Amino acid sequence: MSWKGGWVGKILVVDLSKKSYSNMELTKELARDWIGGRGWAIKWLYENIKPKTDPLSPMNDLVIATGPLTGLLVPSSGKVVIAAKSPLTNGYGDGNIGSHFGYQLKQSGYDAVIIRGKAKAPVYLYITPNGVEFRSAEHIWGKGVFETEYIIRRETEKEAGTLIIGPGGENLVKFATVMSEHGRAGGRTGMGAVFGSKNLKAVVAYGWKTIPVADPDGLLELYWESKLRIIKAEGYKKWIDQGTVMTVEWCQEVGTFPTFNFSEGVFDDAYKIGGEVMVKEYKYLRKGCMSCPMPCGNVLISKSEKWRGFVEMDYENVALLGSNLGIGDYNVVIVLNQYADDMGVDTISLGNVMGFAMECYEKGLITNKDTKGLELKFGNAEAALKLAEMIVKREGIGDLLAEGVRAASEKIGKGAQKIAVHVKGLEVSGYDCHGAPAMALAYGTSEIGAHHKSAWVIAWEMRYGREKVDKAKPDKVIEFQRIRGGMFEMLTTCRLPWIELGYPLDYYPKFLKVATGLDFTLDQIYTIADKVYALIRAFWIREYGHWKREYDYPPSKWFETAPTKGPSAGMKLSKEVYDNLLDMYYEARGWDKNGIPRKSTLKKYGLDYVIEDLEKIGITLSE
Amino acid sequence: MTRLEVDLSKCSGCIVCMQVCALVHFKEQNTTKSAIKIITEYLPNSIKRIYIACHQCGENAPCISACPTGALKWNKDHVELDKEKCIACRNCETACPYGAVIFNPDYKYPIICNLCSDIDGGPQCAKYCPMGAIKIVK
Repeated sequence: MSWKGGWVGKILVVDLSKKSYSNMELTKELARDWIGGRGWAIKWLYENIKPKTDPLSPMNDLVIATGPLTGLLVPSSGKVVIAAKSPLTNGYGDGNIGSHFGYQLKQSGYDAVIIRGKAKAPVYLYITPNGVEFRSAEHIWGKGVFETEYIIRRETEKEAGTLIIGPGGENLVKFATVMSEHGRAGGRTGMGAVFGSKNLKAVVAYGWKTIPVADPDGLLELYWESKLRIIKAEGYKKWIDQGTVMTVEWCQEVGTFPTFNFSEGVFDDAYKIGGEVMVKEYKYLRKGCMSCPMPCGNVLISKSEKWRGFVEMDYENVALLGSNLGIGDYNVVIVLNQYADDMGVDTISLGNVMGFAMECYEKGLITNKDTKGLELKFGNAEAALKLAEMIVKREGIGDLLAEGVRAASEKIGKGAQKIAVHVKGLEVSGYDCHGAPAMALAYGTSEIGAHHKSAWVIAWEMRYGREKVDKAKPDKVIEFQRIRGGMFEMLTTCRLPWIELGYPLDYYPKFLKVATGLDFTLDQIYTIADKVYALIRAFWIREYGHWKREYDYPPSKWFETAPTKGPSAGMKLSKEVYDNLLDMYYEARGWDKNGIPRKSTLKKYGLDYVIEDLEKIGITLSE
Repeated sequence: MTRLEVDLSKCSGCIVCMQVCALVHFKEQNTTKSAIKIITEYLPNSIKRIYIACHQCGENAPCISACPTGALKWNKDHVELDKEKCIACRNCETACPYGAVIFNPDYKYPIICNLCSDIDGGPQCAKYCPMGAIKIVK
């Protein structure tokens, strides 16, 4: 049965080298069996990128994909997935961005855009129902994201949807992001650098076509119910006041607030950069994505003569650019965050790699000679801002750090690898896991490297018992990867109504029904999610040419040194415990002891062709 | 006059109002077929938000006066369109000082807020707004 809405039915394929584009029909199979977003991205990348492609070469493809619920009257439907082979990890890379781009793309008549090749000179794409314009970006190349956004909207439409890179992406900083709407960021796996490598400054969409919907009245009814559920949920008021920044206080209480390059789990000045003080002193505007009844965007203005800035703040930004650098002044965090957003580099990776550099400096692994006199001590705000500039401009030691913490630590050597906090080359985000084995497993087994967006199990783990070691933990990680990394990344809508305010998951099949006319059950969606992860795993294995379970380990720092203060003082991850959890995780996923999917698992998902591909490059697959 | 007013200190820019307007009146998911508009402007150093909604100017509304065929009329508390008389000249759009006469490139007629007078329960944008930012003022 064909669908009646939700999906528009067309995918745009752009070839920057040839300055041409074509339309690809969205097949029934692609819609029904791969849903959208991350599902489409991995399918396209697996099938169309040659193994071992240089991620910053014209041979890498960018996939910008919505899903069947994106841009509709569905709670928090403003997400879009941006994917490519990652220049930071050399594996599968993606990120989602919450903005108003998704509906503009769909109203232009497209579900997704695939961008191939490389433009001869800087361009931006302007997509409307009339087609695609390749516009020169010579005049905005080199400009910050904020100014670029302003200029592009004047040249197109005020209400256009935008995906923009800054100098970070142009300079191929490996953790450059794609930005939109003053502070929205996506693709921390270096998707901004992939834009930059293609001479692509921005993708802009503006559309006026109707997005087909099977049952418009049903959509209105479901949204009405959803809105009431969400705005009456416990914790709603605090959420719309503080958004994710409330996590500062929570992490401090449980000892998971990353501090001094993930050496400690509490920070003395945490409350100076927390959610409460933010609302009282710094917040001036509330900002949200498309259709969101619980907008989390906190726009802040600094209050200091010296540190002047305005920025949209999230928890991760505070954790990585604040406590992780030993900085307890909101004004500084605002300025650092604004700089990162304007330059289009990921705040998480930036804070992580700068924390790493500071620890290297304090331990004597790098010296004044390497830093050109910059005193990279924890808490040195001026040095942090200067170092951020050096990274974006790839000057001095910034050039090395712009390669990401894995590459930088390998180059520095002398044991620096042991204090590099990453998984598979992606820097760990805002949770210190010395005393959180399930969350460590979530980082270890995340689809893109150390990121929290899939299995954010830390709150559950603290309730369940951080010290417990049983099957419930890997099971919870897999459940969250299915729901968050699978369903939400494919639909593409935001997970926060569910995870933060308990909005029931049952609504998603209902919304799919009124949008597409098709019946889906949650179990069907989860099976697709597992298939998608199996293919992502195969992509990584194919790219690396081999696989080891060590690649699914969290940073060695969490095994080797313990925090000295707070609730996690004295805690270290145990290798034995982690291996035990990982074994249970692999078993439940149908993967072997090395983390390679078994033949039977791949066959179950109809991925028989993957078996052949992997065997061809010498991978031994278990039955 | 009765009209819609948006409290911009509450508005988050989620454009639920625009979607609801089109879904209710056209049965379509299309933000450009809405009679109310929220525009968020991204200036290099700030974010500004504005809204556009019909001021329901009354019998002598500029759009009504500008209509050469009498297709626009005042009906109790709102402007009403007679499609049969409309020749799509777009004079009403030019005449409206608030930019509140909306045209979609694929739809011939002007889209003007009628305060949902044809729908039970009053203006649906106000009802659906998750932030409670839209008020009906007199």
